[in-house]
Parts: sequence; C-alpha cells; structure tokens
Amino acid sequence: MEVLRSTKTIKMRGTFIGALLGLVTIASGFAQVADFVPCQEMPYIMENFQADSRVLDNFYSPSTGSFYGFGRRGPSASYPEKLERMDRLYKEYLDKLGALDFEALSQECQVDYILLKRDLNENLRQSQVERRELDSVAKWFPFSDTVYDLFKLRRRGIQPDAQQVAKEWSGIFDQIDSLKTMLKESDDLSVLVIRKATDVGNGLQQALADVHGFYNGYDPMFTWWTSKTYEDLDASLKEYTELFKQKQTPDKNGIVSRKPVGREELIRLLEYQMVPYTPEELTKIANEEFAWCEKEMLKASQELGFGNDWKAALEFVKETYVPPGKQPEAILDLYEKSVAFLKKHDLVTIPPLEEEVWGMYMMSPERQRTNAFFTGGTNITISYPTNTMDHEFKMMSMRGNNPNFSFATVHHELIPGHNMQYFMNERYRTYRNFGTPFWMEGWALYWELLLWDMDFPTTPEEKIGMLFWHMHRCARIIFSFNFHMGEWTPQQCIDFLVDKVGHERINAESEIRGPLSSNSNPLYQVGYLTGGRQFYALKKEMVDSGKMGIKEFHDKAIRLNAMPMEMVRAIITGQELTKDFKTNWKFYE
Amino acid sequence: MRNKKIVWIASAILFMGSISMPLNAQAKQEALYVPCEEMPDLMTKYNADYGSLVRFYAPGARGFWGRTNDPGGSPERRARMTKLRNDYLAKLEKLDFNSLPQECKADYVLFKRDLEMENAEAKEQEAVYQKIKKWFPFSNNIYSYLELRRRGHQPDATKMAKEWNDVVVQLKTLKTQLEETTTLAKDEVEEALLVITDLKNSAENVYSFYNGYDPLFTWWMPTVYEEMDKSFDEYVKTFNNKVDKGKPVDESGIVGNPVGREELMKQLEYEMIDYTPEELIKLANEEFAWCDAELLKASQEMGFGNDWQAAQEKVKNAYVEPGKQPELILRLYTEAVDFLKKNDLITLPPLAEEVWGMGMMSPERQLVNPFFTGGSSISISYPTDAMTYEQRMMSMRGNNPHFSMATVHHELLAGHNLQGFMNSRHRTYRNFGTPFWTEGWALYWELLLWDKGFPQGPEDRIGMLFWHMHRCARIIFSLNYHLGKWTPQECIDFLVDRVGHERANAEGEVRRSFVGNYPPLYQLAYLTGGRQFYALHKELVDSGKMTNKEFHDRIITMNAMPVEMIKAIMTDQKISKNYKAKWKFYDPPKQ
Repeated sequence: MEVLRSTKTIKMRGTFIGALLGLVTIASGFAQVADFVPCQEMPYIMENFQADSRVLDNFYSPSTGSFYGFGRRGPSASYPEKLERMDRLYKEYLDKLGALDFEALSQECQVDYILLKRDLNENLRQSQVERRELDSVAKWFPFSDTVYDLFKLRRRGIQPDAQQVAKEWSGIFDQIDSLKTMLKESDDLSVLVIRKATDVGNGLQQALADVHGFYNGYDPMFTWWTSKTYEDLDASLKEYTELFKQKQTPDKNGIVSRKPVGREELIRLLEYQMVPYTPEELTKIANEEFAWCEKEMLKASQELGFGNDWKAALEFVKETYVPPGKQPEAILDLYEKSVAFLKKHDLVTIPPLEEEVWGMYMMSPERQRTNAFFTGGTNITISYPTNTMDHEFKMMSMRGNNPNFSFATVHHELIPGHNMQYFMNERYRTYRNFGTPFWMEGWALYWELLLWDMDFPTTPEEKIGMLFWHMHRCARIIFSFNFHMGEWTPQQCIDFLVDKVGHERINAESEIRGPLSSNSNPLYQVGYLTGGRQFYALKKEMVDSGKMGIKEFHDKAIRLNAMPMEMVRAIITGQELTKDFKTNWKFYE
Repeated sequence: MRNKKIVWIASAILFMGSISMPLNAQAKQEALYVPCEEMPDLMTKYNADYGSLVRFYAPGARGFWGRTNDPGGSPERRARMTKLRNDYLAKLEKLDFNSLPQECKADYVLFKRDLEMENAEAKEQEAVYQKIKKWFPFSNNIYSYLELRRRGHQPDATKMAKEWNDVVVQLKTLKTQLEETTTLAKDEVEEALLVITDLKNSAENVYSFYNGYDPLFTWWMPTVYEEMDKSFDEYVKTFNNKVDKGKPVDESGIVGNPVGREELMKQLEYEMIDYTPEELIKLANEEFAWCDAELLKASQEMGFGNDWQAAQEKVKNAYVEPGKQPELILRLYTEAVDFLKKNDLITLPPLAEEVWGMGMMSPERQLVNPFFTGGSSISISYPTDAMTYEQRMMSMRGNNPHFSMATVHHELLAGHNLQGFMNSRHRTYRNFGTPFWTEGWALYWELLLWDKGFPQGPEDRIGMLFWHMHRCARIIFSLNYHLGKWTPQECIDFLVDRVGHERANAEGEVRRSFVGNYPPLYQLAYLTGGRQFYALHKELVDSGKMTNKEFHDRIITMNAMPVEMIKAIMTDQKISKNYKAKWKFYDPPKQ
C-alpha cells in the first residue's frame, strides 16, 4: 500500500486540526481535544500490525484443544516456516514505516514511530535468537520437518497419502527410541538446551495432534492406517519430552534455575528499554541508594529507641500487625489516607469513577504461598492468614503485612499507582502497546519517592515501612544483575535479601523463585527503582524548575499510556526527534 | 470538519476517477482513518466505563460477574448502569452534532439509539422486578453486607448470623405461600430466578471474603450460610414449578415463545428496517416465487421437467467420497476467489487469503450444525466413522458440491471471514454489530454472484436456489411463528415441502430458531439485509456512480452497522439526531 504523502497536505491537515480544536473548545467545552489520538497514521498502522500478528500467529500455530472456530490458543511453538513468516511481517511493517514521512508526523506520533520501529527490529532480533536456539536442539528432533510439512498440507485440507503418513510416523517412532537411549546417556545438556527441547517436543506433539484430529474419523484410509501408529507415536514423544525435563534438578531451595543471560544481553535489553546505563552503573546507583536508605533507617531506629540496631526496629514495626479480621479495614484506611493526601496537595486528577470501582479481594491461601504481600491493579488482593494456615505461616503473613509496611504500598497498588495506570490506559491512547516494567513499576514506585519527599510518612514506624520497600527495590536491582552476570547463585540472592533487607527467609525465597526460574524479562525487577528514578528526574526537570504545575505534569504523563520513560520525557519536553533516536538520558544524580 | 473535507475529497476522487495516482492512493489511505475524534473517544471511554462498573457491581466474586450482558442486573447495578447511560447521553447532548462529519453523525445516532434502548430495557426489567419484589423482602439482609464487603468493612458477625438466619426463616414461610399462589407469568418467574442467582452469588461473595480470615465470622457463619444457600435452591425449585411452562402446541414438541407483533415492530425499528412483518412476508413470498420459477428452469434443463424435487435429489447425490471434502471446499474457495478477482469486484488483502483456517466439525457439533460454518475459520461438516449410516448419508447429501458452492464464499471471502478480518482493522471503535449487516452482506454476495453468472450449469443453480429459498423461508416461517400464525410443526412442514430440506434438518432449524438463543429477527436478517445491500448496489454501481470495487471496498472498511446508515453515509444523505428509518429498498427480482 502506498502511504507517501506530500508535506503540503500535512500542513492542511494541521490547519484542520487547529480549526477543529478551536471549534470544539468554544462550542461545547466538553470534548477534551488532548484526549484524542495524536495523529491518524500511527494508530492505524499499529492496530493493523497487531491484528496481522494475531491472525498469523493463529494460522501458523497448531490447534490446541477441540476445534471451535477460535480453537487455537495458548503459547505456540516456533518452527522455521512460522519464524520466516513472522519476519516477513516485521519487514513489511518496517517498509510501511519507511514510506511514512517521519518529519511530517506530530511529535507524539514520531514517538510511536520510533517505538514501533524499535519493536519490529527487536522482534527480528528475537527471531534470530530463536533460530539459534532451535539449531542447538536440532539433533534431538531430526523428524521435525516431516511433522511440520504435513501440518502445512493439513492447514489447507489436502488429502494425504495415508499409507505414506503411517510409514513416516512409524519411522519417527523408531528414531525416538534410539534418541531416548542417547538422551539417557547424555549428562552435559545445558539449561538452555533442556528448556528449548521441552518446548520443541511439546510443539511437535501439538502439531501431530492437530493433523491427526483433522483427518482421523473423516478420511477412511487415514483412519485405517494411522490410528494405532499415531497413538504409539504420541505416547513416545510425550515420554521423550518428559525425559528432557527430568535432566534439570532443583537446588536445595527447590529452585530450578534459568541460565543467566549474561552482560551482553543485559546491555542490549537496557538499550531496548532506552536506559543508557551499564549493569555495573545501575548496580552502583542501587548501592548508593541502598546506603542512603540505611542512613535513614538508622535515624528512624534511633527515634524509636533502638539505637543503631535498625533490624530490631524493623522487628518492632513488624509486630504492629492488626488482629485477624481487621486487615481489610486497615487497607481501606491507608487507601483513604493516601487519596486524601493526593487531593490535599492537588497532585493529580483522580476520576471519581476510578475511586468508585477499585475492587478488594482476599488472597487465597494457595496464592499466598507465592505472594507474601498484597497485589494490586484493577483490584487489590489482600494477603492475610486464614484458619487453615499453620501457625508459622499465619505469623509470617501478619508480620509482613503490618500497617506500616502496607502504608508504603497501598497507593502503589491502587491510586495513583497501578489501579490508575490500568484505568487510564483503557481510556487514553488505547492503540499503544509499548508496555514496560520501567513505566508500569516505575510510575508506581516514583510515587513512593515523591510522597516521602512530601512528608507523607509522619512517624518513624511509617518511615521504616517505606524504607523497607525502598531497600527492597534497590536489592532487586543488585540481585538481578549479579545473578544474570553470573556472579551470584540463587542461594546468594536469598541470603542477600535476608541479611541486607531484613526479609523473612521464606518470603525471600518466594521473591526470587519466579524471576530466577522462569524465562521472564531479566530486567523486570530492575524496572521499579530505575523507572521510578526516571520519573523522579523528569518531575525535577519540569516541575521543580517551574515549567509545569505538578498536577498538570502528572495528568499529562498518565494519559500517554505506557512507553519507555525517555519517550515520556521527549513528549513532555517537546524534544526534537529523529527516526534513529538513540537513548541518551542520564537521569540519576 | 477536517475529516468531512477529507471524506469529501476522497469521495470526489472515487466518483470522478483518479486525478493523479499518488493523490488517489493518499486519499484512499486517509479514508481508512477514523472519521472524527469525538465519537471514537466517547465510545472507547464508554466501553471502558461500562466494563469497570459491571465488574465492580457484579453480585458474584471475581470470575463470576453474573449478568454482564444485560442492561440491569441487581437493582443496585441496574440503577448505576442507567446513570452511566444518562451521563453519556448528556455528553452526546453537549456535542455539536451539526459540526460532525457525516460518518460520525451516524455514530452519534447509533450510539444514542443503543443507550436509549438499554435504558428502555432496564425500565422494563425494573417493572417486572417490582411485580415479584414481594417474594424477596429480605434482599437487604444480603445486599447491605455486599456493599460493606466491597470496601472491606468488618461485619458484626453475631448480628449478621441472626440476619442471615432470618432469611432462612422467612424463606420457609414464603415458600409455602408461593406454593399456594396461582401461577406466575413466565417473565416474572425468569426474573425471580435471576434475582435468586444474584442473591446467592452476592452471599457467596460476602461469605468467601470473610470466612477463614475473620475469626468471629468464621465461628458464626458457616452453618448459617450453608443453610441459607440450600434454602435458596429449594426456593428455585418452587419458582420453577410456578411457571406456566406452556405445552407444546403440536406434535413437534417444540415449546417456544412467540414474541408478538408489537415486539417485532419495536425490534424492526431498532434495526432501522422500515417494513412491517406482513410486508416482509410478502417480500419473501415474491422472492420465493422467483426462486420457484428459476428452479423449474433448472429442473427442465436437467431433464426432470417440473419435478424440481427429483432434480434436487440428483444434485444431493453428487456428494464426494469421504476424505475428499476438504479438498472440495478448497476448490470451491479458489473458484470463488478467482471469480471475485476476474470480475474485479473487491480488494482482497493477500493476508486474508493466507490465514483463513480450516477445521473439521466434531460429530457432536454436527448434530446441531448440519452444514459447515464459517468466520475466521471454516468448520467443515462431513461424516465420521462414529456416526450412524443415516447421519452419514444425510451429511454427505446436504454438503454436496453444488450446495456448498453457494456458500463457501458466504462463509469465507468475501463473506464472514473478510468481515471479521476487516472489522479488526478498520473503525475498530464501532460496536454496532447486527445480523442485518453480518448475514446481509454475506447473502448479498450470493445474489450478486448469481447475477454475474457464477453458477455453472443447472446443478449449481439448484444449489444456489436451495439456499436462496431457504433464506426466503426463514423470513416466512420465523415471522409467521412470532406473529402467532404458525405452529412449529407448520414451520417444519413448510421447510420440507417448499425448500426440500431433509426432515431432521428442518426440525433442527426450527428448534434452533425458537428454542435456542436466536433473537427473533435473526433468521430474517439474511435476505432482508442482503436486499438492502443489493438495493444500495443498484443505486450506486448500476447507476454508474461507483465501480463495484470502490463500492465494496468502501463498505467493508466501515465496520458493522445497520445498512440504512451505510446508505446514509455513502449517499451523503441528511442525518438528523433522531434519525428514523425510511428506506424502501425492495424491488422484486425480474422473472
């Protein structure tokens, strides 16, 4: 599609927008022109890209579960044909972007352009990584092409030569038999190979099930030839895939560790997040900030009469928990306090509907095993003990969720934190999908920093609560980088959290189990304090300097939807942008 | 303002032919952008607000939001949702309607229509609720705790145990009273059952929030709660016995609920169809007569004289062998797409051609879907070894190549598959979906392709006519039924005798139409919507104002809405805030 356009038209469009703006404001005063999307080209191209990605992923993925029109769901395995097709899509959209006149876009849409381009390139890079990983397990799945070739025919309903299929499948069965023997004897498989092989095995099982489900019963020859062969093959492949899983053994904390991604990958990921710092620099920042926290901790500890033994003070604060049955009211009280504080200082516009509809739930004992503290978002989900938990678990839950600790984070989870973020993202710039923990967690954490500065905590207990979380965010940076640079084992990370932050050991274990075992974003835990410091620096630049009112600043930022913080800054400061924008914002002092 | 001008430029180019290529391409691109900012913004926010409120005021705990798709729910939620709609009606009122571009005037009219319709429904629901309210004098014993629970206030467990136990006591008396009462109207019983569900969900929501976490609550409440929950289940049974279930009116055994003329008129007005049920039946009969005549021609060509049923029988027996049906469907798909391209009728995105899916329908689903279904994927009905001999033969005969040639394109391109594909890419903020658009567009292509000579030979024509008659029949039998003129058995006989359905399929069709979840107008939307598109095509394409391709490309990038609004947009007809349907679109086909 030709999307070139002359600059002249753009100017005309600009005039129309201007005219529209004036008209609406004068005529009704109702429509918030600032609420409107900042241009047409980027929302259109982004919505189309998302729709295209969805249908392609759907089409090239084997169906899981019974077919029902929308039957294809769940994580889908990658294989060369699909990777190649997705790459073609990314390149096609890079071409579409190339055909757009960047200079003629509104500045906010230049940001969209930069970020979509960044994502397309990152997807292409990830495809390369995926290919390398597939290659690394190729010798364990020499029959992969045979399976996917048949899956390709099946997608268009071509009738297969049933006897030939039976012969092929039977051949794969025999191959797996000898591969199993080989596998049992290999004890030098890397974590990466083990995990990838498990994915590939699952994917092949799905593809076979999809093919078999399509023809079996409907096609007489296929039904006669393959029923038994398929059942045998499916069972064998399942067993084979399980064998890979068993190659990984958990450590004494029950953690099956992932492979640290290494410095090079961390740097690439930081660049993707538009954070121009090295892991060492960020670790240094976290250590400095940690030292500041410790200093403040000592002050509070002294005020409470514990001298320099801040851990004793922390212990004292943990004992301030409310009796069972009272926790929801304690949370409500903290919520009301923080909202009243926001209003009193006129910090941000809170839509009345948002205050009306945030939800409150109790966390089930099962979920509490992995979530020691409440979680938030659309709803706040409260961790507190039930009669069914053993005594130790009960006490740990109450101590960890004492009102002074919760004081620091109810607003983080609700208003103006995650609840407000979700609320706004559903209503403004809804076409954007540049979500990142640096924005999501950064914004929520930033409010902890800001509220501290504004003397939201008034007692030493409240200060200790806030500092506990602040130290925790520093610690997250430190342990994430140390682990992913290959410096620390999971055990060292746990010890660090217990010794330095004052975590209960069992909470420390649940804290690191997720990030260090799953393949989640290695920078997630880094996003909190780093993103928070970015917002903090931006606020200093815009508000403390007197360029913007604080309410105006927050209202503007929260209506842009999620994106890397440096781009929020670019929009708010009206920074001039180029197509090949490179991150360069040094935000930490 | 801006967009109006752009649309005007775009239309001018479309009407006059291209002035210069780049400008044309650019105008085309711009025509794909949203037509204004106000309406997408307002509608996006409304949908978000609606979702937030439904979630928050849901009686049940998370994951069980209760009645999410109706305009009311519990009395509290009903009132809150009505307030939301009134807030948005006020926002609409503040918009300067006259300064909106044409397409956004259509959005305005339709959005307002929907808000007002839901308000009216909430009012009706409230009226029914008032009638049965006396059976629930204890509602507040539960709802007051739900309100407290939503903000986590600790209840006085001692007091609460007494109040919930009071519910149990009252239910005993009420149950006896209810047993002695004469029957209740069907809508009253339905509402009462919903009220009980809401109360039960609310109680469970409250209970699960405190139980286990609050020591006193945990001591007082479990037995009381369980007894109350059981009492509600008993109450449900009593209500179920009160309903005048209605007896099957004939040997078909089908118990439906004819909605009556007044309701049909109301729904037709909502759908912007300016015809009475009687006029639509007349229309369908005229069209049926045309089909009859065409059918005889085909029958004669095949050497069966006037015995069209014999000719149809021969066509049914032209089925392909088991195992071959997917390839047949692929062939029919390819032929249809080639035809669309050869005649330059519409732009098909290459991606749409690439990603439509194909699956086999499970034997269970085939019991209610004798023919393939479509959308993002085509789901093929064809027998498996697990089906009985009769089922297998019926399935193969019903899905013979000539019957299927009429409808593969209806389900895939340029039909439902393309509709879904385009709707997730253009004017995505719109949510005015209606069967008159969805089924109308897909059926319209059957009419257009017939005109363009798509069917090859009399067998293909018999296939297409089978479906065409079927759509006429759907208007006739569904309206006659809802007007109270025909019994379900008469509907079945009509489908067998006049359309040539297998009896089992005809029964399934009628049962689905009246007992299932089909809205009363669904079955008539096919041909009616199809004829609307057909008339618009005549007005804009046959008259030479637009090419086929321009016409179809424009419609399919506007997302779903009543066809009369599409006409208003495309012909730049004056739209007022309180637009009423007035389009007489039907001309009987020429013999």
